[in-house]
Amino acid sequence: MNPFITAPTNQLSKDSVKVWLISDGVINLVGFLILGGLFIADHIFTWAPWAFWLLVAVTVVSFFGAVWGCWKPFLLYKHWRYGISEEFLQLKSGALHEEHQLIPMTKIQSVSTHQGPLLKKYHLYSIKVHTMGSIHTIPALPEATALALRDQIARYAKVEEV
Amino acid sequence: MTEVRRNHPLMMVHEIGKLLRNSFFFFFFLFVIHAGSESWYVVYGRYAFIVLFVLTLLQVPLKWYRHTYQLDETAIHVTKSLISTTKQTVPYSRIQHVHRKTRWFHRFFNVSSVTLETSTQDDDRSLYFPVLKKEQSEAMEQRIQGKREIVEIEAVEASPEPILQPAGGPVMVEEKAPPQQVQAAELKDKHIHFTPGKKETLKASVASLSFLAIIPIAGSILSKVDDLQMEQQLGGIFSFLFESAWMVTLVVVLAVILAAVIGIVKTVVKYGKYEIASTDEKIVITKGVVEEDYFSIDKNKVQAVLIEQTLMKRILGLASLKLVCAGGNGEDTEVSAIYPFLPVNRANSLAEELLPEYHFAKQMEKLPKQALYLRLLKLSWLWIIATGLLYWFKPEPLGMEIPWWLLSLGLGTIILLSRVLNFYQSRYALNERFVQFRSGGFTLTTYLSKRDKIIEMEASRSFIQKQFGLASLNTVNRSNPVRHTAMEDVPEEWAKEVYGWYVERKQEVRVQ
Repeated sequence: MNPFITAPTNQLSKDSVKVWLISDGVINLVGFLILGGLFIADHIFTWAPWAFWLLVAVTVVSFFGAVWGCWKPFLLYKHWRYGISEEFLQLKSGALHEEHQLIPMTKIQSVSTHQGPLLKKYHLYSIKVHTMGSIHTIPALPEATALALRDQIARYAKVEEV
Repeated sequence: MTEVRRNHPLMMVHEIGKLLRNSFFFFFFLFVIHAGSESWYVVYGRYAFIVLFVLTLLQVPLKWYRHTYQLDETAIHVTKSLISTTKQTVPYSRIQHVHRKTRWFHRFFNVSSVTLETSTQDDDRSLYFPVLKKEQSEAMEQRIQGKREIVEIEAVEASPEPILQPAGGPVMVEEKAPPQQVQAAELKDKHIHFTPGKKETLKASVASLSFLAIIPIAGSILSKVDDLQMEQQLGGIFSFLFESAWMVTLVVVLAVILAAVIGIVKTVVKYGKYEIASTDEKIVITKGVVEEDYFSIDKNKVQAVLIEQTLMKRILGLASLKLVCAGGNGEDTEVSAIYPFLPVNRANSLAEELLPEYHFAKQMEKLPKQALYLRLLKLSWLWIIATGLLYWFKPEPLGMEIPWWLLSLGLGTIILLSRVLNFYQSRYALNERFVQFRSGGFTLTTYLSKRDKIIEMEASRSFIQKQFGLASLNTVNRSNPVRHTAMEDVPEEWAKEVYGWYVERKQEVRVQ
């Protein structure tokens, strides 16, 4: 395949795969528990026949979703890249749907770090970059990298630390 | 030196008028509809109404007196204090455009309201002055636009080469010439580019479909006739009218003439007396026959230029020229539409006249053939969902029995036709500092923006696009808040080129 836009080189933390796997797993588990509950309710209260088939359809879709969820984090990790220069923040993501973004530093309004319980477990941070129209997220970076990157972006974008 | 100024005292009259208008409904409800009512909420409601009304009335002079503004070297300071005090300071350089409105009231007293639009997103996005004297508002505008220039000159001089600074000093002093001189210069170099003639207005009234305004009117009359069975009463007249063919013809002709007249009157009121002018620094649009709207924007505050053509406008060879600007809210878009009914060729030339920096590319590229295949292959969710609904509900529009699959087929054809049209009409070009996209099926839009006005750039390829060697581009411009413009299915190489072109934006961008 001919090269498209040269992607930046920095990658996310390898642990991001684990974080996504766990979070997807939890979401799927909860989803399937709810579905199970609905099936039992259907059995007890004898809902209309179409309800049963609807549940079956949802289950089938969720099943494929779960399978995809086991594979997706690896793809996401493999194809996520970010780069930073004095003038631009460059992001690249997506395996099937490839996206390249160029954000001039001067157009960045603020930058912040976030950490949920799962990210905390692996000492990771996500970085959110706010521009006038949207929020760009770099999902999972090791603590030191994340904080350094945040400060660097803040310096280039000349915004105060938030 | 920074004199404290106020709105014209007529602001009090204006505010009282507003109060009367706003309280009319409550007054009517409490004192007319429920005139004889003794129920507690009406009785207390009346007291509450009177107290509130009197209080509001009393605070009107205070509101006028306490709403002041000051124009200093670089910023406007607005203070409003009633119970709490708000002080706002807005640097001139942050003001995106000036909007002056002259309503009936204003026109009568030769005053106007002024809104200064900034680009922030919160409620304080604009500074509003309900009643200002003409001289006052003009002085304000000149101050804003004149001073803004100096600020920028200072910025330019401060940044690049320090050696130039001594030489630059006197220039700066010159620019700080007294406001009177600035004013004279502005009036002198004002150049009127376009005022619609009779022909344009006539075309506009056709293109805006304003003659259709008669349909709801006629519709409501007819339905009343139907409802009230007035046929029995009016039976005589109706049977007389429809008796002979020539009578029917006469009625139809009269209806058509009436429709056209109503349409033209509507259009004249809205688009008659339209003036598009510019000076070296700004673009000025004045419109409205009875109530005047005045809009002025600095040329370098224009974020992008759009030329839009709906199907109707294309049939008539018209186009709408729009400026994307960062200030204001959604309601203002009507104003930034420079003139919605320009002859197609004029739209391009007018844009280039108003913004001499902007140039439309003469030669634009067509999309590659693969784009057509891809677009024909792509699933249309709209069609799938619509077909599903049609199959389920099997509607009978206007009581006609049309099989659902025929409707679905019709919709599918329209969607396909739009896609094919979109493919054949899409064009793209990169022209030094400008990028230009044209796309659309039935409605055609041309987009032109400067590299330094694009605030974000995205290039993407879906899995299918990859197989065909195509990509999509998405640019972001400031608007309110932002405008995304997409160009889909351009060749990969070109997308890459644009991406690289955007990296070079530092050439034009000045950093403080």
